[in-house]
Amino acid sequence: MTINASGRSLTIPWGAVVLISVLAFADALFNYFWTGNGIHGTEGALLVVVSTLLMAVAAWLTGAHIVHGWLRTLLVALLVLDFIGTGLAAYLLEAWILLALDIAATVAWFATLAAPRMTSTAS
Amino acid sequence: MSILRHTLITVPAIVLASLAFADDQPGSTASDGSQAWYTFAGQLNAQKYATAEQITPANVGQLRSAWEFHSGDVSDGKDPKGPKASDWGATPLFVNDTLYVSTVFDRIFALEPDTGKVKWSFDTHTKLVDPTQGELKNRGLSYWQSASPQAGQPCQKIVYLGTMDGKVFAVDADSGQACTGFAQNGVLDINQWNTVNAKWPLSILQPPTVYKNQLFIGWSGQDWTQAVQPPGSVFAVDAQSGKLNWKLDTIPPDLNPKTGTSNVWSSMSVDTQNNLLFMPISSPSPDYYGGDRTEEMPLSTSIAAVDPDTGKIKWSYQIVHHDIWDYDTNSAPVLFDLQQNGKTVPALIQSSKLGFFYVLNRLTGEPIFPIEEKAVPTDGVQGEQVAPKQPWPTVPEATVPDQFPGISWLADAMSLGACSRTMAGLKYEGRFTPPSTQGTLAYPATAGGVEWGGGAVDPTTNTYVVNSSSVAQIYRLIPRDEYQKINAGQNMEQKNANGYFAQEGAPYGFQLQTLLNSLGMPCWNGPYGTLSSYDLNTGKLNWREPFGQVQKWGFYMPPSWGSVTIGSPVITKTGVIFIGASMDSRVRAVDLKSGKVLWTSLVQAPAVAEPAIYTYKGKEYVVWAVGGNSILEPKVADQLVAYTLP
Repeated sequence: MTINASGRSLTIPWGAVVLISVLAFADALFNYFWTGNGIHGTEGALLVVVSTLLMAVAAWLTGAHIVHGWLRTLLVALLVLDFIGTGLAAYLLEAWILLALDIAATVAWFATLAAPRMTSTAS
Repeated sequence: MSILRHTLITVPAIVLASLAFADDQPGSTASDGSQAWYTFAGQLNAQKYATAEQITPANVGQLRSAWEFHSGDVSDGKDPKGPKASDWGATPLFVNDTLYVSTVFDRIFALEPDTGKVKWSFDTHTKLVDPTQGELKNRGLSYWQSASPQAGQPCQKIVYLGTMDGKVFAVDADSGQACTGFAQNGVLDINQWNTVNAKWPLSILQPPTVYKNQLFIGWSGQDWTQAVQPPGSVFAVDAQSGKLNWKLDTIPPDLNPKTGTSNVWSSMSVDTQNNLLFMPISSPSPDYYGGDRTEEMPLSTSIAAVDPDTGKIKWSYQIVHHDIWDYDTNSAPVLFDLQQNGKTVPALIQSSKLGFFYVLNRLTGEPIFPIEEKAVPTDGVQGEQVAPKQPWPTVPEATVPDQFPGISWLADAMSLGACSRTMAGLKYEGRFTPPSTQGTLAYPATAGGVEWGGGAVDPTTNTYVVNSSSVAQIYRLIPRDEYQKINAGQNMEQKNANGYFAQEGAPYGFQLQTLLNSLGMPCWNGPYGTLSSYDLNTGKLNWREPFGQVQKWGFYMPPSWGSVTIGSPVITKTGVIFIGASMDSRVRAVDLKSGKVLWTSLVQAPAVAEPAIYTYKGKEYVVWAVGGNSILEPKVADQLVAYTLP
C-alpha cells in the first residue's frame, strides 16, 4: 500500500515517518517560540528545530526514493542518528511531546524495514 | 590559636524559653490572628517558619498560580544607555493585611494579598545608577508599627526601603505617603556617616532590621577594589525620627588606616525575649590578602550578639581567623531553643560559605556542639601571615565535604583533559589553603556553601533545613606590577567581568575564576547543590538530597547533579518545604520528612528570594519574587507570583 506525496509514492510506514517528523518539527518550533516553557529561545530548542526539519526532509527523500545508492544509504544512517540525537536532546530539554514523537518516528522507521521493498513510482 | 571570643560580658542564667518562642514585635500578627510575614526572614528569629496549615504534603501537588504582578522594574543590562542588569531578591512582606514589595528601581508597591492588585505605590525617584555592585540589587523592605498608635496620625505604621545609594525611605504603610518626620523629609542618608576611608558610597541592599522602635542598618560595598576602605559599621536609628541612636564599629579604629569593611551586608536576627541583636559580620578588606592587616580583628568574619539599646557587644564568635578567602558571615543566625539532656538551651545556628554550621548558646556564644581549632595550611604568599588554626565544627556535618570531590571525567573528556591539566597546576591542601600566585583551588570558595538566605527551622521538632552549593574556584594573587600590565586601560567593570579584583594598595591584585572547562561545564564532581535536613537537638543529619537542576543551553542536567543555589527554604507547620533557589527557574515544594520533591512550577527566572507564606481571607498563599541573579544565570524578571490551592 502506498500514499502519494508531491507526486512521489510512500509506503504507509514511510508516510508515517514523514508525517511524525513534520509534527515533531512543528512541536520543536512551538517550543522555541512559546515563552511558557523553560527552554524557549535556547540553543537546545533551536537545535531540535533544525534536527526535526532535517529528519522530515531526510525521511521524505529516503521514503519517496528520491535519492538512491550511496546517498540513500547515507541518509538512512543520518536519519537513525537524527532519531537518537533528537531523542536525547528532547529528553534533556524535558520536551516530552517531542520525545514521544521522536520515539513514534523511530518505531515507524523500524516498520519501514518490515514493509515489502518497493521501487519508486516517481514518474 | 584558641577559640576567639571577643568579649563575654555577662553570662545570664539560661532562660527556659518556650519551644517556639514567639516574636512580640507589633505587627507580627495579621488582623485575623494569623501569622504575618513581617521581616526578610519571616520572623525576627530568622526561622523562616510558616504556621499556615492548609497546604500539606498530601495536597501541595494541587497548587496553582492565584495571581501574578509585574512591576516593569527589570533590566537585562544590555542597553548601554539603560540601567545595569537587575538582581531582584526581595521577599515580600505580608503585614497590615497588605503585601508590600520593593523593586530594583527603588519603588514600593502595596498589593491586595489575595489578588495582587495595587493599593498604592511609592517611587523614590532614585537615579538608577549602581555605585558599588555592578548590578541593580534589592532584597526587600522593613516594617515598623507603633505599639501605642496615635489615632488619626500618619506614620503609625511605616514601610522602609533602603537604596543602592545608601538612603532609607520611610513611607506610611496605609497611605503610601512619605513620612516627613523621618530624617530629612522622610529620607535618611547613611552616607552622612561615611566619613572614614570613604572610597565609595555605602549601598543598602538588605532591608534594615526593625526591633522595638529602632532600625538597625547595615550596608554593602566593594571589599575587593581597595585595601583601605570604609570600616564596617552598623547604625541604629529611631524608627520614627531617623535620629542616630548609636553606631557600632566592627574594626578597631586604630586599624582604619590599614583596612576596612567587615560590614554587615546581610540580614540580622533578634532574640526578643533576651533583648539581643545578632549580626553576621563579613570579612575585612582586601578580601584575599591580609599581610597588611595582621592585627587581631575579632569582629571580622564573626557572629556578634549586641545589646540593641546601646550597641554594646555582648559576645562575638569569629568563624574564620584572619580571613583571606572572603568567607563573609553572610546570613542572619537562626535562633531556636535546643533540647539537650532534658534542658532547654537558647541556641543559634549560623550557616556559612564554608558549608560549616556553628551552633552556639545565644546568650553566651559558647559552642553547643564541638568546634575544634584545627591546624590548617600556612604557606601563604610573601608578606602574608596565615592563621595557623581555624574553627572547624564537626557537628552538624558540613554540607560541603572537607576534600575536593575530584575532577569530573565527563567535563574532563569534553575538554580533552583541560580540567585535569588546570587542576595539576593548582595549589590545594584542603580547606583553608591560602591564596597563591600559582593559583589556589578554593573548595569551598567564596561562592558557597550556604549563601545569604541561610536555613530554616521548624521549632516544633528543631528540624533545620538548608540548601548549599558545591563550587570550586581558583584564587590567584597577581603581583602588583603584573596586575597593572594585565589590566591596563580597563575600567573596574571590565576587570570584574574578567574576574580581576584590584585590591589597590595591597602588593597583589587578584583573579577569581570558577573551575569550568571551555564549554562552561564544572570540572569537579557533583552534586553541585544539595538540600539537607538536620535534627538540631542531636546535630545529626536526617537526610541530604541533590537539589535543583543545572540548565545549560536549555538542556536540563540530571537531577542527581543538583544545582548551585541562591535563596533559602521556608518550612510550614504541615511539613512542607518551599524553596526556589535553583538555576533552572523552578520553584519547588519538598517533603520535610523525606526530602522528596512534591511539586514544581516553572517561573521566569531563578527565584533567589525565599517565599513569603501567609493566610488571608481564609486562604493560604505562597508568594515568590522571581528576579534572577547573575551568579546563577543571566536571566532576569519582575515576576511576583502567588500560589494557592484551588
